[in-house]
Amino acid sequence: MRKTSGYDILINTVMTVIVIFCVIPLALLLISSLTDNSTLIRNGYTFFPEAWSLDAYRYLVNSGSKIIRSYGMSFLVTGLGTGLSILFTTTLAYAISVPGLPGRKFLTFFVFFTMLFNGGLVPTYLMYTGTFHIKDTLMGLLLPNLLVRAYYVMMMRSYFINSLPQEVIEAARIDGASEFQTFTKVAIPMSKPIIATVILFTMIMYWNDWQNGLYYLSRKTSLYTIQNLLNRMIQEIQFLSSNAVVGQSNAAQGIPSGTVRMAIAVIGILPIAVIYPFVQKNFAKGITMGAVKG
Amino acid sequence: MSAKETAAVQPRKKVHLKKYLPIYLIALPGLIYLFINNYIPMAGLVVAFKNFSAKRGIWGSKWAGFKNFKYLFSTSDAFVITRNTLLYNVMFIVIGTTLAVMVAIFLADIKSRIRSQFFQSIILLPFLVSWVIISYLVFGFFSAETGFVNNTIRQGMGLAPLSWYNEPKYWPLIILAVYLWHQVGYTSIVYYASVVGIDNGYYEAADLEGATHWQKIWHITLPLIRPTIITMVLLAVGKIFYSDFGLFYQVPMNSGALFRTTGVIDTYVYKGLMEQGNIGMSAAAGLYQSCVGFVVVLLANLAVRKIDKDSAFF
Amino acid sequence: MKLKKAVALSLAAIMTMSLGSAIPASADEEKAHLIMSFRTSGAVPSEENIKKVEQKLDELIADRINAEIELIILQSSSYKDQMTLMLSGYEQLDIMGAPASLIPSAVSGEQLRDLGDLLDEYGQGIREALGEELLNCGIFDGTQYCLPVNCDTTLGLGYYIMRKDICEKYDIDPDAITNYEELTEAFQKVHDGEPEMTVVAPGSAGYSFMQFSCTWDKLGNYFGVLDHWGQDDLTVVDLFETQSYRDYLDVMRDWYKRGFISADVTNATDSGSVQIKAGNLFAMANSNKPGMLAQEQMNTGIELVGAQVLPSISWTANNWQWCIPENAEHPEEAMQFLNLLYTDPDVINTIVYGLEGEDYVIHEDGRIGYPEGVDASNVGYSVASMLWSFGNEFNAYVWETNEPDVWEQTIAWNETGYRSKAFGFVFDPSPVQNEIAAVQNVYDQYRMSLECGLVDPETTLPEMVEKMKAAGLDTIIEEKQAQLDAWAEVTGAA
Repeated sequence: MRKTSGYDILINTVMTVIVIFCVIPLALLLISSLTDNSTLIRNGYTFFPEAWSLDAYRYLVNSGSKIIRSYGMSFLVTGLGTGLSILFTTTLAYAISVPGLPGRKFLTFFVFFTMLFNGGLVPTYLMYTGTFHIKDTLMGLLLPNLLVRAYYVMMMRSYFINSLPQEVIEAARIDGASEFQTFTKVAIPMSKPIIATVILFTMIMYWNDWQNGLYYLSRKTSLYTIQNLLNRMIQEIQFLSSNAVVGQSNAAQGIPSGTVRMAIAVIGILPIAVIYPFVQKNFAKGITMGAVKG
Repeated sequence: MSAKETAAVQPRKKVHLKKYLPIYLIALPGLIYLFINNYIPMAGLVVAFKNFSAKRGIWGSKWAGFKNFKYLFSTSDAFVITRNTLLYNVMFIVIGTTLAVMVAIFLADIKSRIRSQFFQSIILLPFLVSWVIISYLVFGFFSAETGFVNNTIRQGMGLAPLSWYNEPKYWPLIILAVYLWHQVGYTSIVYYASVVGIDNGYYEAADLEGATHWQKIWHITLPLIRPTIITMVLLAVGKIFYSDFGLFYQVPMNSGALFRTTGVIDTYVYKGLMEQGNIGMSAAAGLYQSCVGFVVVLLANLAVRKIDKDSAFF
Repeated sequence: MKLKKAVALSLAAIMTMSLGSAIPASADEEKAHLIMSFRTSGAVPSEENIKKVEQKLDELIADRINAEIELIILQSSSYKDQMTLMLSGYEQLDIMGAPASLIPSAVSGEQLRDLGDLLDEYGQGIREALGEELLNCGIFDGTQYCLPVNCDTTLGLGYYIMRKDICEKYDIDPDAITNYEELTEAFQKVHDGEPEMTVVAPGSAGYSFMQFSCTWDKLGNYFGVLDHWGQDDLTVVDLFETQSYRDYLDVMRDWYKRGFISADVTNATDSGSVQIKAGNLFAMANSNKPGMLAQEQMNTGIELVGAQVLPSISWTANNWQWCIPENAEHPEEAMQFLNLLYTDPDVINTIVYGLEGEDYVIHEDGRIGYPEGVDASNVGYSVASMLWSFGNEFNAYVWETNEPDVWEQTIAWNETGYRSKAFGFVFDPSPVQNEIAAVQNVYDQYRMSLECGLVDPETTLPEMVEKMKAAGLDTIIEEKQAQLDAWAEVTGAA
């Protein structure tokens, strides 16, 4: 065991400072969600509110019989989406990383090009609703835009090219492994760090997405994910609390408008914050295995 | 070409095809998805050159030439928004990448596994907060009357309160800080994966020769993760004419007085089209941003080919 | 080569499939299936509750229209985007509610049907409910594309809602306040006595005071207006160079310098009533109408009084209109249904308040309220916040927080104040889109800080005007004048 060096002290100090920088606004978020609403509006967002209150969470629990169901939808969509996505992404990324594959450059360009140009929302929407009829179905949450992202394909490709020792791959080929076997038996196990990374990113992407729900679920709101639900609540509250009365409405009455937004954010982050350490454990495991084999 | 030679070439080609067939096959699902999800809708970009009419459909609508692009350049502020977009992106790429790489290397070097994991979890969290919420938090810090900065920090130092949302000069820094807060933890994960993927043998050899930590970072870690850095930077360069709408619209709370330093192409397009836009005009904006990004990325790729052929995209 | 051709062919095939094919009509069903979309600013009802209301509507119309109705209820914030998507493709949509900002692009995209003939054939009730003058507000480019709604069309501008307790404390009589000088005096008293409190703020976040302080007809977008409440003639002038605008700015500058206005006003996120409720605001600017004060009292839970310092005005009322899109499959039934919406109280009550007994109950005096145990946060179906947008609110029940005769008051109110000579004129921005985008960009840079008094108009106003001119403001004004002249010729207005 080496003793603690100056370098160790330095990196720990720097990281602690960075973590504090990250935590302060998050603490403000949590504290504001627990502040009394009138206090918040009068005194602004502060670390030491005059009056505390659980009203925001009470409001969410009372109005949100749908919260549990939406959480369920989020888990389902995130699980399915991430599973499919990682399959498609890894295979494609590996293919365009194989040296000597005829047409490899073209395929790489084919993938990369989709990052630069896109048809925009309207043509995408017309195709998915007109040809594939995914409107108001679960597919509307899964398919558009999220399944294979060129960004992640390129990231993985780079890892395959640069971090997979070519000698090991060659050795496998010489041993008579087919290209497919090389992929599943050699490349995949050795690439756990990047696979874990992309799994994490894809999970976050599916978890955070609310646009697909917004555009593709206009009637079937029972399929809303938690982000759709929370986003809709935030928009409602924002509208009600920022606009003067237009009709004969008292919908804004009694909503702790300022604090509930913050509580909504907390509820949206919470599951990922809870699950992440577990994902991370596997992530770390993958790394050691990859490193040992390498 | 003689018959003999042709005969000799033919079988080899067949072997090739047979050998690579599985590779093409496994790539197929992803390629088909990209073709459907990305390439087919690209045909819709043609509306950028059309007077779009729903009755006639995309193809039947009349041609409009470059009319839909005109509004992008009709403003005297076209220079300002282009400059801001570019400068912010350059700043994000340079500072963001440097910080993310540093964090990744440090994280990998922290000996306590638990502490390292704890740090990783915390720095990822900001990425999960939506821009609307971030804008409220930023307001919590910079509000003129109730903000933390005015009421606690500036007051503590005996300074008069500042109306932050009307002072454009501070915003490049604020935007940068918010961007780094939101993004660095997330990006550093990619680099972290590369760093921990490095063969331990390199470090052991270096240890035997008595290398310091800095020497190891400089001579082993950085060169080995260079391809990842290049990839990530090239990917960012392709988006150089885009900007995160939430960061530039929500975070400055759409404060007009800050336009000089926070106005970017995306916010201009959004505001310009809010009341009277059509899909032709928004398609035009996207096409313009894409084309510039494409040219820039081709140039960057060319440069990369000169330095490090393997890391270039094509 | 072959491959290329095949790819091109399949691409073309998929494109035509995706963009060219209509969703098959449900022709085999007997009843016309009508799809209707509108927005709500409150909570969007759940699927099951919308179903119930649809069934009730079907029952109500069964003996009059051979149709069944499906409602798409969306949230205000994303409504325009979603309508743009639905209109661009071939998704069936028979009746669409449209905010003013959606109309120009929908018209230039040929996404709306000409309602003229349908209105003649099936829409007699609508004609009667709106009256010719109001109906004209739905004419765009000489064609009746839209149907405006009958609600409060007069705006009581320069209306300041104040806390009653503080008025009493400082001996302020709101009824005696009739102009800016008296208002400033009253505000000064409050400011001196309550230095911690913000004296005045705009009613809505994101608005300056200007929207509530017009002494001109904004003609749609403020770029080119009719000065003096549109009472002089039909000469379009540059608002930002008028004395009226400058006078308004001077009042705001004075208020800001006196410390009445918060420095955070330019990026406030809370409405005036939320701030009053929280206790750190004395007064807010809003536009007056019958029931407004009662409504704000409900929202804040604080007793309020109001003072109006400017005359009321009515200008072209097209905040919300009903349209029948090109994608409609049953335009005739759609118009029949709209006719019922504008004329049959049961239809509007059901579509707005939901089901009697479940979502609302009728009191003895004819007003309605929530049933036992139901409130705004758990009601099954209610889009009451948008009542004004459902054609003819005067047919609907009065909510219990309003006075029972609020509709009679509103009808009388609509007859008061100045009526702009350009009432009914709708500006079509599409010929000058580029200029508008550029001028809007300039205006956005100055709007809030200038119009809330944060900067000195003496130096800033000329700067803004100069930039606006460079961005093409004069072109917009010329275009607006030309359209207005053409409109005047057709309608005979002078």
